Amino acid sequence: MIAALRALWGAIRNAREWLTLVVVGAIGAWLYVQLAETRADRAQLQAQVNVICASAGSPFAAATVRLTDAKGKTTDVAFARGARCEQQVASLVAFRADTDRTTAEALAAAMREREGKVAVDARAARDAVEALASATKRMEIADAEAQRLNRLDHNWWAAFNDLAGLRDPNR
Amino acid sequence: MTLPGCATRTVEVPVTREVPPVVKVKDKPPAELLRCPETPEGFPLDQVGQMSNATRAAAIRIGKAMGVNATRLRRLVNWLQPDACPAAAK
Repeated sequence: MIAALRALWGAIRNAREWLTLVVVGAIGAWLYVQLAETRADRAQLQAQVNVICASAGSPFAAATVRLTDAKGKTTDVAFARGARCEQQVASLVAFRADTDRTTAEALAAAMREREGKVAVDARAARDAVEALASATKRMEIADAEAQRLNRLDHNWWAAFNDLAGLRDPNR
Repeated sequence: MTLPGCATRTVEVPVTREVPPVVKVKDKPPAELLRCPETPEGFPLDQVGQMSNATRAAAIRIGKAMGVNATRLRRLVNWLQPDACPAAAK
Protein backbone atom coordinates (compact mmCIF):
# COMPACT_ATOMS: atom_id res chain seq x y z
CA MET A 1 0.00 0.00 0.00
CA ILE A 2 2.62 2.50 1.06
CA ALA A 3 4.78 1.30 -1.76
CA ALA A 4 2.03 2.02 -4.28
CA LEU A 5 1.53 5.59 -2.93
CA ARG A 6 5.22 6.15 -3.06
CA ALA A 7 5.30 4.98 -6.70
CA LEU A 8 2.42 7.39 -7.59
CA TRP A 9 4.15 10.33 -5.90
CA GLY A 10 7.27 9.49 -7.82
CA ALA A 11 5.39 9.50 -11.09
CA ILE A 12 3.81 12.86 -10.29
CA ARG A 13 7.16 14.34 -9.36
CA ASN A 14 8.70 13.17 -12.57
CA ALA A 15 5.92 14.62 -14.75
CA ARG A 16 5.51 17.90 -12.82
CA GLU A 17 6.12 20.23 -15.75
CA TRP A 18 3.51 18.50 -17.84
CA LEU A 19 0.97 18.48 -15.09
CA THR A 20 1.51 22.19 -14.39
CA LEU A 21 1.04 22.92 -18.06
CA VAL A 22 -2.18 20.95 -18.15
CA VAL A 23 -3.54 22.75 -15.06
CA VAL A 24 -2.59 26.19 -16.44
CA GLY A 25 -4.15 25.28 -19.75
CA ALA A 26 -7.38 24.21 -18.07
CA ILE A 27 -7.60 27.45 -16.10
CA GLY A 28 -6.87 29.45 -19.23
CA ALA A 29 -9.60 27.67 -21.15
CA TRP A 30 -12.04 28.25 -18.31
CA LEU A 31 -11.20 31.96 -18.19
CA TYR A 32 -11.56 32.21 -21.95
CA VAL A 33 -15.02 30.75 -21.85
CA GLN A 34 -15.99 33.09 -19.03
CA LEU A 35 -14.71 36.09 -20.98
CA ALA A 36 -16.55 35.09 -24.13
CA GLU A 37 -19.77 34.68 -22.19
CA THR A 38 -19.31 38.06 -20.50
CA ARG A 39 -18.63 39.75 -23.82
CA ALA A 40 -21.71 38.28 -25.43
CA ASP A 41 -23.75 39.26 -22.40
CA ARG A 42 -22.38 42.79 -22.45
CA ALA A 43 -23.03 43.22 -26.15
CA GLN A 44 -26.59 42.02 -25.73
CA LEU A 45 -27.23 44.33 -22.79
CA GLN A 46 -25.74 47.27 -24.64
CA ALA A 47 -27.93 46.64 -27.65
CA GLN A 48 -30.98 46.28 -25.46
CA VAL A 49 -30.30 49.41 -23.43
CA ASN A 50 -29.89 51.34 -26.67
CA VAL A 51 -33.24 50.08 -27.89
CA ILE A 52 -34.91 50.81 -24.55
CA CYS A 53 -33.52 54.33 -24.35
CA ALA A 54 -34.38 55.04 -27.96
CA SER A 55 -37.96 53.96 -27.39
CA ALA A 56 -38.09 56.13 -24.25
CA GLY A 57 -37.09 59.02 -26.47
CA SER A 58 -33.58 59.84 -25.25
CA PRO A 59 -30.23 58.34 -26.32
CA PHE A 60 -28.10 56.26 -23.98
CA ALA A 61 -24.75 57.58 -25.11
CA ALA A 62 -22.89 60.27 -23.18
CA ALA A 63 -23.19 63.71 -24.71
CA THR A 64 -22.69 67.39 -24.06
CA VAL A 65 -25.93 69.23 -24.47
CA ARG A 66 -26.46 72.96 -24.60
CA LEU A 67 -29.15 73.81 -22.06
CA THR A 68 -30.58 76.85 -20.39
CA ASP A 69 -30.09 76.85 -16.63
CA ALA A 70 -32.46 78.15 -13.99
CA LYS A 71 -31.17 81.71 -14.40
CA GLY A 72 -31.75 81.68 -18.13
CA LYS A 73 -28.07 81.32 -19.06
CA THR A 74 -27.02 78.86 -21.73
CA THR A 75 -24.53 76.29 -20.53
CA ASP A 76 -23.03 73.14 -21.92
CA VAL A 77 -23.95 70.26 -19.66
CA ALA A 78 -22.04 67.02 -19.95
CA PHE A 79 -24.28 64.06 -19.41
CA ALA A 80 -22.65 60.80 -18.44
CA ARG A 81 -23.58 57.64 -20.27
CA GLY A 82 -27.17 56.80 -19.50
CA ALA A 83 -27.86 59.98 -17.49
CA ARG A 84 -30.16 61.54 -20.06
CA CYS A 85 -31.99 58.29 -20.60
CA GLU A 86 -32.46 57.85 -16.86
CA GLN A 87 -33.81 61.38 -16.54
CA GLN A 88 -36.17 60.79 -19.41
CA VAL A 89 -37.51 57.55 -17.95
CA ALA A 90 -37.98 59.16 -14.53
CA SER A 91 -39.83 62.02 -16.15
CA LEU A 92 -42.06 59.63 -18.08
CA VAL A 93 -42.88 57.69 -14.95
CA ALA A 94 -43.71 60.93 -13.13
CA PHE A 95 -45.84 62.01 -16.06
CA ARG A 96 -47.77 58.79 -15.99
CA ALA A 97 -48.35 59.05 -12.25
CA ASP A 98 -49.39 62.70 -12.51
CA THR A 99 -51.80 61.91 -15.33
CA ASP A 100 -53.43 59.09 -13.40
CA ARG A 101 -53.74 61.18 -10.27
CA THR A 102 -55.17 64.27 -11.93
CA THR A 103 -57.57 62.18 -13.98
CA ALA A 104 -58.82 60.46 -10.87
CA GLU A 105 -59.19 63.79 -9.11
CA ALA A 106 -61.12 65.30 -12.01
CA LEU A 107 -63.45 62.32 -12.22
CA ALA A 108 -64.02 62.26 -8.47
CA ALA A 109 -64.79 65.99 -8.45
CA ALA A 110 -67.24 65.56 -11.33
CA MET A 111 -68.94 62.69 -9.51
CA ARG A 112 -69.24 64.67 -6.29
CA GLU A 113 -70.64 67.64 -8.18
CA ARG A 114 -73.18 65.44 -9.90
CA GLU A 115 -74.29 63.84 -6.67
CA GLY A 116 -74.87 67.26 -5.16
CA LYS A 117 -76.90 68.32 -8.19
CA VAL A 118 -79.02 65.18 -8.08
CA ALA A 119 -79.82 65.75 -4.41
CA VAL A 120 -80.73 69.41 -4.94
CA ASP A 121 -82.85 68.62 -8.00
CA ALA A 122 -84.66 65.78 -6.26
CA ARG A 123 -85.69 68.22 -3.53
CA ALA A 124 -86.82 70.78 -6.13
CA ALA A 125 -88.79 68.13 -8.02
CA ARG A 126 -90.57 66.99 -4.86
CA ASP A 127 -91.48 70.57 -3.96
CA ALA A 128 -92.72 71.20 -7.51
CA VAL A 129 -94.95 68.13 -7.46
CA GLU A 130 -96.44 69.13 -4.11
CA ALA A 131 -96.99 72.72 -5.23
CA LEU A 132 -98.62 71.60 -8.48
CA ALA A 133 -100.92 69.17 -6.67
CA SER A 134 -102.09 71.80 -4.20
CA ALA A 135 -102.51 74.48 -6.90
CA THR A 136 -104.50 72.07 -9.10
CA LYS A 137 -106.77 71.17 -6.23
CA ARG A 138 -107.36 74.81 -5.36
CA MET A 139 -108.13 75.56 -9.03
CA GLU A 140 -110.61 72.68 -9.25
CA ILE A 141 -112.47 73.90 -6.18
CA ALA A 142 -112.53 77.50 -7.44
CA ASP A 143 -113.61 76.37 -10.91
CA ALA A 144 -116.44 74.26 -9.55
CA GLU A 145 -117.60 77.28 -7.60
CA ALA A 146 -117.33 79.49 -10.72
CA GLN A 147 -119.36 76.99 -12.72
CA ARG A 148 -122.01 76.85 -10.03
CA LEU A 149 -122.32 80.67 -9.82
CA ASN A 150 -121.54 81.20 -13.53
CA ARG A 151 -119.22 84.00 -12.41
CA LEU A 152 -115.46 84.44 -12.13
CA ASP A 153 -114.54 85.90 -8.80
CA HIS A 154 -111.55 86.77 -6.72
CA ASN A 155 -110.91 83.13 -5.75
CA TRP A 156 -110.86 81.92 -9.32
CA TRP A 157 -108.36 84.56 -10.46
CA ALA A 158 -106.13 83.95 -7.46
CA ALA A 159 -106.19 80.19 -8.04
CA PHE A 160 -105.43 80.73 -11.73
CA ASN A 161 -102.45 83.02 -11.00
CA ASP A 162 -101.13 80.47 -8.55
CA LEU A 163 -101.52 77.58 -11.00
CA ALA A 164 -99.83 79.45 -13.87
CA GLY A 165 -96.99 80.64 -11.65
CA LEU A 166 -97.94 84.31 -12.14
CA ARG A 167 -97.11 86.97 -9.62
CA ASP A 168 -99.89 88.13 -7.36
CA PRO A 169 -100.70 91.67 -8.58
CA ASN A 170 -101.62 92.77 -5.08
CA ARG A 171 -98.14 92.14 -3.78
CA MET B 1 -14.81 70.81 5.51
CA THR B 2 -15.00 72.00 1.95
CA LEU B 3 -14.60 75.63 1.09
CA PRO B 4 -17.55 76.84 -0.95
CA GLY B 5 -15.27 77.83 -3.85
CA CYS B 6 -13.71 74.38 -3.98
CA ALA B 7 -16.92 72.43 -4.00
CA THR B 8 -17.73 70.73 -7.24
CA ARG B 9 -19.89 73.00 -9.30
CA THR B 10 -23.12 71.49 -10.38
CA VAL B 11 -25.14 73.13 -13.08
CA GLU B 12 -28.76 73.46 -12.14
CA VAL B 13 -30.77 72.57 -15.16
CA PRO B 14 -34.53 72.88 -14.99
CA VAL B 15 -36.08 69.54 -15.74
CA THR B 16 -38.97 69.91 -18.10
CA ARG B 17 -42.06 68.22 -16.71
CA GLU B 18 -44.87 67.64 -19.05
CA VAL B 19 -48.29 68.70 -17.94
CA PRO B 20 -50.78 65.84 -17.79
CA PRO B 21 -53.40 66.11 -20.52
CA VAL B 22 -56.34 66.28 -18.17
CA VAL B 23 -58.95 68.58 -19.62
CA LYS B 24 -61.99 69.53 -17.63
CA VAL B 25 -64.78 69.97 -20.12
CA LYS B 26 -67.07 72.80 -19.24
CA ASP B 27 -69.93 72.82 -21.69
CA LYS B 28 -71.82 75.76 -20.36
CA PRO B 29 -74.77 76.93 -22.45
CA PRO B 30 -75.00 80.60 -23.45
CA ALA B 31 -76.35 83.04 -20.86
CA GLU B 32 -79.50 83.46 -22.91
CA LEU B 33 -80.45 79.85 -22.18
CA LEU B 34 -79.64 80.19 -18.48
CA ARG B 35 -82.15 82.96 -17.83
CA CYS B 36 -84.74 82.20 -15.21
CA PRO B 37 -88.34 81.78 -16.36
CA GLU B 38 -90.39 84.94 -16.67
CA THR B 39 -92.95 85.52 -13.94
CA PRO B 40 -95.27 88.24 -15.18
CA GLU B 41 -97.84 89.82 -12.95
CA GLY B 42 -101.05 87.82 -12.93
CA PHE B 43 -104.63 88.82 -13.53
CA PRO B 44 -106.08 91.51 -11.28
CA LEU B 45 -108.10 89.81 -8.59
CA ASP B 46 -110.95 92.31 -8.43
CA GLN B 47 -112.35 91.48 -11.86
CA VAL B 48 -115.75 89.89 -12.01
CA GLY B 49 -116.75 88.30 -15.25
CA GLN B 50 -118.16 85.36 -17.06
CA MET B 51 -116.53 82.68 -19.16
CA SER B 52 -118.02 79.65 -20.82
CA ASN B 53 -117.07 76.24 -19.47
CA ALA B 54 -114.96 75.44 -22.52
CA THR B 55 -113.06 78.74 -22.35
CA ARG B 56 -112.45 78.32 -18.63
CA ALA B 57 -111.15 74.79 -19.17
CA ALA B 58 -108.86 76.07 -21.94
CA ALA B 59 -107.56 78.89 -19.74
CA ILE B 60 -106.84 76.44 -16.94
CA ARG B 61 -105.06 74.10 -19.36
CA ILE B 62 -102.87 76.91 -20.67
CA GLY B 63 -102.14 78.30 -17.23
CA LYS B 64 -101.23 74.88 -15.86
CA ALA B 65 -98.89 74.17 -18.76
CA MET B 66 -97.24 77.54 -18.26
CA GLY B 67 -96.65 76.90 -14.59
CA VAL B 68 -95.30 73.41 -15.20
CA ASN B 69 -92.97 74.64 -17.93
CA ALA B 70 -91.66 77.47 -15.77
CA THR B 71 -90.98 75.07 -12.89
CA ARG B 72 -89.18 72.66 -15.18
CA LEU B 73 -87.08 75.44 -16.74
CA ARG B 74 -86.15 76.66 -13.29
CA ARG B 75 -85.00 73.17 -12.33
CA LEU B 76 -82.99 72.88 -15.53
CA VAL B 77 -81.24 76.22 -15.02
CA ASN B 78 -80.50 75.33 -11.42
CA TRP B 79 -79.03 72.04 -12.58
CA LEU B 80 -76.70 73.80 -14.99
CA GLN B 81 -75.91 76.69 -12.68
CA PRO B 82 -76.65 75.92 -9.03
CA ASP B 83 -78.82 78.40 -7.15
CA ALA B 84 -79.24 80.62 -10.21
CA CYS B 85 -83.06 80.67 -10.00
CA PRO B 86 -84.59 80.57 -6.54
CA ALA B 87 -88.07 79.09 -6.26
CA ALA B 88 -90.86 81.47 -7.19
CA ALA B 89 -92.07 83.60 -4.31
CA LYS B 90 -95.69 82.84 -3.55
